[in-house]
Amino acid sequence: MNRRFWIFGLLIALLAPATLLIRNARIDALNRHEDALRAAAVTDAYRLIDDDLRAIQLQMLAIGSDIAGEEAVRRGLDAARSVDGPTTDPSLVDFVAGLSLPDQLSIELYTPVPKLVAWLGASMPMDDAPAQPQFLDRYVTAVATDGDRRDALAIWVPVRDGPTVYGVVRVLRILRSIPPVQNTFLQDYDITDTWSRKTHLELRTVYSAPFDDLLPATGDVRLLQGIDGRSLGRVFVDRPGGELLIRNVRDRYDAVAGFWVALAFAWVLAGAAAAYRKAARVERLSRVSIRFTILIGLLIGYRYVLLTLDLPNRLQRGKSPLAPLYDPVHLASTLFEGAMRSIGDVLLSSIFVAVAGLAFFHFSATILARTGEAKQSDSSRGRLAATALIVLSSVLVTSVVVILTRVSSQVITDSTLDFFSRTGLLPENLVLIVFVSLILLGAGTAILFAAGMMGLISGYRSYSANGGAGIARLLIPIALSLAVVALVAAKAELFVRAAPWVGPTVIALLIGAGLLTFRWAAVGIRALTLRNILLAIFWITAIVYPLLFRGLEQQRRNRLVDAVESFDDGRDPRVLFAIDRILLDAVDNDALRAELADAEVGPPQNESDRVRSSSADSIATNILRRSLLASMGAYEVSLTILDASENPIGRYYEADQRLTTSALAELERNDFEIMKEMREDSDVSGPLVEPMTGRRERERFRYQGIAPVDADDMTIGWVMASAEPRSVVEEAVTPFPRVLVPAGFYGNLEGDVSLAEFRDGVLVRNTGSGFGRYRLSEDARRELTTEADVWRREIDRGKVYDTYYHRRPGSGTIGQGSDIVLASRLQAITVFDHLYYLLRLTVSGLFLGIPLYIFGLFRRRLAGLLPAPEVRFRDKVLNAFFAVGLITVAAMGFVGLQVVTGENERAIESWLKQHLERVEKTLFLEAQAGELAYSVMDRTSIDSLAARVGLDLNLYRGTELVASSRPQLVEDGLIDERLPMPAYKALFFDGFRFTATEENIGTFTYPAGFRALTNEEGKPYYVLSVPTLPEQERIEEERARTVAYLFGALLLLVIVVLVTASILANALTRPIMRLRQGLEAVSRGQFTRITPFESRDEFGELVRTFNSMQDQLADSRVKVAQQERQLAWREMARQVAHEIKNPLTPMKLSIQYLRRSFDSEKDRDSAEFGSLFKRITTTLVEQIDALARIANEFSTFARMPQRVIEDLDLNEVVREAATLMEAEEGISIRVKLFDRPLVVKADREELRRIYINLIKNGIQAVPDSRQGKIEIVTRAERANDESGSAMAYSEVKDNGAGIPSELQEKIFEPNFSTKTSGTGLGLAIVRKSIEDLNGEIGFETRTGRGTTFWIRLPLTHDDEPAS
Amino acid sequence: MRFVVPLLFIGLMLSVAVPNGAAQDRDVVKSIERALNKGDVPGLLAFGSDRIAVAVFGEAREYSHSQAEYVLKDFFKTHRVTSFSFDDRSQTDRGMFVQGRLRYRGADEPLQVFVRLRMRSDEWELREIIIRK
Repeated sequence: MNRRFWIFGLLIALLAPATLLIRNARIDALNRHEDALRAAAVTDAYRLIDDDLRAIQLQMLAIGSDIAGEEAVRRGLDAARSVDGPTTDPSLVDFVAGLSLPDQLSIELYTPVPKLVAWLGASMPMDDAPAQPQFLDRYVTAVATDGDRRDALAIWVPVRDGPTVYGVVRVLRILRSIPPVQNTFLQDYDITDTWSRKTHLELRTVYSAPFDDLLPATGDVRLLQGIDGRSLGRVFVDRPGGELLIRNVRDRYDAVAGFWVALAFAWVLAGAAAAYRKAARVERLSRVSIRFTILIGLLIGYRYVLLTLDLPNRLQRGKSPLAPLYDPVHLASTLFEGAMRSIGDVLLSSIFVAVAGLAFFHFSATILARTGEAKQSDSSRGRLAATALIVLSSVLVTSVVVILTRVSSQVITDSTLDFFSRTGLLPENLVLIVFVSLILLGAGTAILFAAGMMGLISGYRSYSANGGAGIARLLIPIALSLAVVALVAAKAELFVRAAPWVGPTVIALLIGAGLLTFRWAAVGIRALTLRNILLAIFWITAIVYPLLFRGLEQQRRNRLVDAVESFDDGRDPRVLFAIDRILLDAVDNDALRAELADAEVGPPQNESDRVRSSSADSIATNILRRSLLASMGAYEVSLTILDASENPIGRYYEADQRLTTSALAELERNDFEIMKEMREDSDVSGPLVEPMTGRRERERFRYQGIAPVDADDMTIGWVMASAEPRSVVEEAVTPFPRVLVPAGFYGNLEGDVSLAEFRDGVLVRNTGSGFGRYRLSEDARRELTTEADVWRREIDRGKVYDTYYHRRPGSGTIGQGSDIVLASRLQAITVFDHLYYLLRLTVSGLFLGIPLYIFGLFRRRLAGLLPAPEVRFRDKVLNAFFAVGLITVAAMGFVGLQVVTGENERAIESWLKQHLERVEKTLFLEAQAGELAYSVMDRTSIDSLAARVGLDLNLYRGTELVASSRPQLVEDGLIDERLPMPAYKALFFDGFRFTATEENIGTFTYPAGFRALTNEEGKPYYVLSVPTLPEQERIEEERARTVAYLFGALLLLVIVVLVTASILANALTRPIMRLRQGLEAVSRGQFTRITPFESRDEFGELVRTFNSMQDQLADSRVKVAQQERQLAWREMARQVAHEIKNPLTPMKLSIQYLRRSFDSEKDRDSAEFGSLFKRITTTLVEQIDALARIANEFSTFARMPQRVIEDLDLNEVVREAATLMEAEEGISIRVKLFDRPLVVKADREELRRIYINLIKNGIQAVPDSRQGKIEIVTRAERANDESGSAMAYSEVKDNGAGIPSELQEKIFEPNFSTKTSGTGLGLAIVRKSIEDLNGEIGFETRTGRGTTFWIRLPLTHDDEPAS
Repeated sequence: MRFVVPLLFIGLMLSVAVPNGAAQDRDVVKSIERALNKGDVPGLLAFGSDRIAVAVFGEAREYSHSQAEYVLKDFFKTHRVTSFSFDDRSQTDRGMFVQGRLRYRGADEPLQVFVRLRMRSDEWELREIIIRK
């Protein structure tokens, strides 16, 4: 940590308090100048609103001007001026139909009258712009209002060419839209809300209304102006209280201060990391452990500091596009004290886990590499430390599994996101981010798991090194068993009866991931290849998916339980309450009272009329819309207004029945009569609310209430409210479409949930197509006798279902009369579904994998590893197969998707066409002779036609909607009252009788079919349309299922390709590997055969040729060896003869001299004869000894004595030899022995002699001018060949004169010696002995510096070496 | 004699512990009212079922217990409660529905709050909260 680091830290430490000081100063200023600042806040808000509104208008003006400048527009408008109705100019229609507009915008083209001639987008009622004097001279702004549902800003841009005016372009932009229901597809929009968020003030806007009486007594008002200076509306602002201003200021500065604090903490963390890394390089393990513990503590602490400071959320609060990441509406879990409280927090926590994983891995690797330090002087302390390491590692391994399991399933259950929708290959954005977070968490978990495994290995080794090898072998299984128990106790939900395979699978995969991590960590950045990254993603996906699926299972179960609850919900107190409320509100409603006071008394004049008075309908609608009753999505609600003679005069009715107005009125009168009678009997004075038999479902309750509307002690009318529970999925011909269901619909209106009610085992009610039997199955009945809630997997007509049965409490005992059982069922998840979800998870993982790969490319290039100097043949083959496989899969996926989507669209279009043809045929059945369908339509009610054909229908006269079987959708503005431009173009200009277009309700898109009913001139008179809203569910489900199967199959294909590629690559490279090993062996002088390779291809032939070559080489070698032996024997014989001659010659001479002396009497009797005799006999004995020595050495060389082979510790033998030589030669020999026994098979004496020989040679090699140093080292290592077997390595090193290069080849020859004495057999004997023990001997020498003789002997046990 | 006092004490505790239907209803409503008065989300959701429907200014969704906690905490963070009280209720054998008004800082008009409870295993559990303007 250098000076810059500390300066940076100091700077950050000052920033937070400085920010707070500034904040306090600002707040003080606020307090002193509160009024001025409040006014300033309002002024700023107005400026923002003005700028925003102006920008919108300028954008609209630009679009309008561009369109107005088009030649096709001018020409088309010119032609349209002279015709009735919409334009006849095809080029204009083409131009308009081909426009692409931003969201919320629509355009209309008018003649100067103005008469509408072309349009694109949603329609709005006319505004007051045409009445303006400058209309057609220049652009005019206005606001168009569609009741209380929508307001839109309009800009009229004249289409001119000099003084000639051809027409006007009207550009519309929605300012406010209130749909009748709120759900995923339909949501309120109000530009005022956007302004409120930006200004932090409460705003309210009113467009194009009289303003004076709306001005509040307090508060500010601002005029909204168009760019042409016209007034468009008023915006009202509640001047912010001082407290609000202070809070806003405080929040802003606190956010900045919080950021500085977070940065300071990050600085501390960086310092701790640097300190740890330094300690890991140079310090003792104990100090490293302390630094590491501090680092991890700070890392975890940092995460919670960020949570406490609410970062980064508070820096972006409310601002898109990050706002949904921190909105708990999508995902929020209380797990880990808030670390998963939003999608953004899940992502952040996953990053922290991954970083912690890397830190733990580094630490564990450090411990493992330094297990030599584990041997302590106090073994018991060492064992204690080792035990602690084993326990902590077990805790780590357990904890990460618990964390991953809990998080993976909780993100499903604590979320409203649809993780398992079938919307294509890529999930939607928020789901994608959650998946990416889980993959990251999975990766971090795998690394932590690997770190734990390393810790266990280190602990075991450390324990063994401190004298506890036996206990160490038991300790790990015990610790792991306790860990498994802890997993179960912590409710990790890995080991549950319902899915027993999950736990073992996940743990096995984690162990595999750990091993992969070891392997890749060993090669570092070289591991970041595309293949490895993809493999890692697949692996982690395989770990995470089973855990995610647990959450999905829970979610599905929740859906089934909710569906049954909704199906059963017959007594709902809130409905009683809501009806009571609405009746009380209604009777006090001034508009209603005025309407009743003015209403004529008597029955409706025309039975086919829809309503007597449209204003009564509006009043009923307004009252109901504002009520609690209307927000209860689970109920179909209605409100009816009756006059004093108890005739219905107006209503709000949303049920889906195909009832004519008269039929409906009749039902209402019947209900009212019953209710009135009950009210009179009960003698209540206010509203009466009672449950009644269901109108459509006799077994269900519905709630009805009535209340009188009194004035001047007279009853001037009545109000009747009704709420009937919806079926979850109706069996009506056109089921209720999901897009029109309010969000949070209690019971989930999903087409795939089937429900049934059984009474006494007999089916009495059902929805959906899942329940095909009329009796409850016996197996289910049997289980329900003991359990009220039963879950079963059942097969019904070849389909597998997950079914939930619920025996209603208090409904009686099964089999003993009057038992009621409700059931819900969903189609079970298939194998292809699993594959599809896996693929989506994998594709999400690519969002991590691809950046990692790019990072790896960058780092490898920096390190000079790219381009790679060598690429193995196996890798080339594997990469080639892989690339081909991926390209094939991608191409198939793309083409398949296009085909499926195209086929789906064609099928829908065909379906729409057939049904519309059927409608037309139905009309023709009613036609008189020669009558065309359009004139039959003139006298046919759209409701009855729709009921007959079983379809929803809309009818257009020309381009205007004149009738609909779903009038409520039209009244609610969900279906436009104008024919869509693409349909208009196709039917009126291109001459098609049928066309299909894509329409939308909110963000819900659906295909609609249109068919022209032509008149006698062949021109479209009516247009019938079929919106596929209800069928959209089923069609989408089928399409989604097909897509799921396609992608599932593709994933399977990818896996098959990868496995096949791996097998083929191995198969291709195996023979090449063997050939290579064989050639390497030859180069080492080993002439062994390659294991026969049974193959009928070129590789087999190559192997056979090689083996044949080896055989020939072996023969030659035998012959050469024989010759060499003969040569060696001749040489040895010559040597023996030479050596023997040496002592024999002096022996002969001595004996001859003695004889001469004996023969000479003079010499014999002399005194010197005795000493001569002694001298000569002494010489004879010495020479005989020399002969004996020569005989012994040659005997040893020829291997005459017997070996005793046993298991012995090489270290001991070396120690003995060194001790012996130290005593004999009086020198100190440095011995560095391996810390574990190196057990080899050898003759102890022979082995000792070997080392004595080498030591002696080393001592003798040291020149007199130098102090001799002999060093002996032993260790364990792996052989360099393919076997990789364990070897005992030893070396004897001296600082002698070295071996001259010209002599190095002869060093091991039998008769070679650099010494004046000796037979020159020493090293030859040593080499022979080593070779007989299947070992190797060699040397390295440097002239003048010394020589090192090394020996490798095979170890008897293949223990893993330390390095 | 020396056993009388402990026996009396035990009897008193038991009498308090024995569920009293109407008293239990009132307790639940009172507890929820107290929690809403303080904006105490954990206190409010102490009676929550595993899944709770929450509607805040229109859009209602089914949430898990955990998620509902955060959604409501988010709401009360931006709407600091000054007072709350229930003022109407209706009840059937298995369900209860109560309505109240919630006042918060910086607003003149109160919010309407509707709470629905259901009886499950002889205990009331909170199933739905609707907050409207």
